[in-house]
Amino acid sequence: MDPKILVVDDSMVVRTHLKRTLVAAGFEVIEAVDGVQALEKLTEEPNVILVVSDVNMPRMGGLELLERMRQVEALREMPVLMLTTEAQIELVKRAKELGAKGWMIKPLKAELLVATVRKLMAAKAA
Amino acid sequence: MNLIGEEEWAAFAEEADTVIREIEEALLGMERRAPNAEEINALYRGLHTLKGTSSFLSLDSFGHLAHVCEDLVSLARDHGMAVDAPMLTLLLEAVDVLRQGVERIRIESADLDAKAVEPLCQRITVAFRARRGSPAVAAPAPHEVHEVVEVALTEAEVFEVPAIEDGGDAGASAAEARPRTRDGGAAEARTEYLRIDGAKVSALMDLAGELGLACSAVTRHPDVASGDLEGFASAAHRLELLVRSIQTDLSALRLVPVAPLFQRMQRVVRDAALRTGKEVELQVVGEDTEVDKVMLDQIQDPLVHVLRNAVDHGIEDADERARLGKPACGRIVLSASHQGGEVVIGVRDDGRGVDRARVLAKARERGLCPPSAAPSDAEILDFVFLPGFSTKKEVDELSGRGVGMDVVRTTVESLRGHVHLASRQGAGSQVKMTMPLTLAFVDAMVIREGERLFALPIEKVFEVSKIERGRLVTNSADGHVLLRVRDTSVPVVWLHRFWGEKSDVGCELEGRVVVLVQTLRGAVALPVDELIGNQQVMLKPLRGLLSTIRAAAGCGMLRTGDVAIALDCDKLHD
Repeated sequence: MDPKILVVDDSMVVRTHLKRTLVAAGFEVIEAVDGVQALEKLTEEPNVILVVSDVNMPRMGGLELLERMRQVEALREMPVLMLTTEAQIELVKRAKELGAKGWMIKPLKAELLVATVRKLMAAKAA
Repeated sequence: MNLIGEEEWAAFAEEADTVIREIEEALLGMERRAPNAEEINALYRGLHTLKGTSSFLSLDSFGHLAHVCEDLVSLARDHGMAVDAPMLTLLLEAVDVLRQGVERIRIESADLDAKAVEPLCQRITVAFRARRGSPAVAAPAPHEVHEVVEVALTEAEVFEVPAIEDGGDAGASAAEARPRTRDGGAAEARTEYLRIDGAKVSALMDLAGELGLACSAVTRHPDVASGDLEGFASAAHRLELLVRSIQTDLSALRLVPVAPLFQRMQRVVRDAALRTGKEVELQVVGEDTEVDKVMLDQIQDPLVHVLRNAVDHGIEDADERARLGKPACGRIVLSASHQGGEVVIGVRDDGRGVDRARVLAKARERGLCPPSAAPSDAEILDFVFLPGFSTKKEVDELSGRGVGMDVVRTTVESLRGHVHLASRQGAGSQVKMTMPLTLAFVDAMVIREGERLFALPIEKVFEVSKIERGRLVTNSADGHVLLRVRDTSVPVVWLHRFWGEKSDVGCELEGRVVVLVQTLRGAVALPVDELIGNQQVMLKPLRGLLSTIRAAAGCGMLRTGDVAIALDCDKLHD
């Protein structure tokens, strides 16, 4: 019953890199290529406790994923970190409205990501 | 902790390859007709992805180039500006450099050289500023806002969404906030690919070949051959079927569609057309056709050469075409298809065709044809393929690189294939490259003549019959024996004589079985002593001195473990 982090990004490079970083920091990681797959994974894997998601993805983007998660009882409270190259004000505002826990700009330092994830995990555990 | 591992480099190279190909495809499409919003968005996304992922690997120069291109495209995406020709040329130039970048990353995990990239980035930035300054763009360019926000965000405490003071009603911004998705994407299924070292696949194929031999060694073992073993026979048959499907499936592993190669050819034709100032359209047919990966890699250069030839020498300039009543835009059709067990790649143009008189004059000038000789039409066309027909100088000026039609032929023949040139003066030319579908296994008819075993590709065999009295004719001119087959005469080729053996022991033709095979230059009849049967043969190349064996495509490993000479039927006339 190890807690897992779900990394959602359409880029294999980003997924590979985030996974390596988070695994090195002692987390277990599963991946999804877009919002649609992320929702599937969230249904299949009850141990996911945090989602790190890209915004602009084919099929279903990160904000729509966030919106859908908010409509599902079991996923409503799950912390979501947006990790993206987008920085349009409207998008950031919308993410905040939907309850995203953070908006981080790619690329970011691994230490920062790990520290943020640790903080979120701690907040959830508390 | 931000160390980048092998996996990321490999993932980047693979992903960037695909994205760059899509970008190039989009750009070439835009050159032909004005793009719609979705196409521009797709182009933007591609560049955006490259920028984003390269930043992860700290590929600053690569990322910078992608970034300035993205800015340029943002003018079209966000301000509805037309994508004009100079813009396309700049972007295509950038595509080439990005592709070099990926190559470099693949080989040495290093970024592009900043100094080398900078001038191009500058030119793109200048183009961007010039267009942004135009009245079509009233609002400040989005990337400027971008940068301000980026700074604010990265320096802010990341944990909370930074509070951004911004006016504007919430409803509108929520609508704006809909993430841009690749439209029509709901149905878009993703194929997952594995990247596998080609050598591993080859090793596996060799093993599968050996497995086939070992399998036969058991199922056809003399100890079990004589016994009445009904159960064994059916079990053995099943085993053989399975081994055969493994071999077939393994061959299929190496098959890839020609689409990426054909797409690169769009670019080749475009560049050649620009250089020569001609208007040329390349139409692609059958790009889903799959061929062996090794073959795909090897025919690229020959194909580039053939296409450049078609543009340089085939297609007339617009004035001349107008005079001839042809459409101003020249047309080249690049096609791929499967025909039997072979792949046919064709390049057809509607240009002026091969000028026989000029070719003959040039062949005489180069000493390829004696002044007194009067070669046939086919022979004249064949001169084009001779080494030394194109001089180095011409190749450099007209066709860009040191590949001549002789190299095209050599390359295709090394793949056990053939090149055929057909041409009608004034109406165009066609170059057809025919190659076997798979390079590893061949469905063959195995025959014995004298003491030797031969494997004939099954698709070449069209008839097996017994020679009856009265069907043989001797050509009075050269003493060659011909076999009457219905209303044609087919030359008889003794395989043992083919290798210079004069002994005619047991060479009585009447009553003997002959195998008739189709070749490029008509049928030939091969008398045989025994038909061993049809089987899948593992083909191995002949190396060193053995590679000079006449008409041999390689050596074929038979199920019995014996070795047969795999014949290249088209060379049986020589």
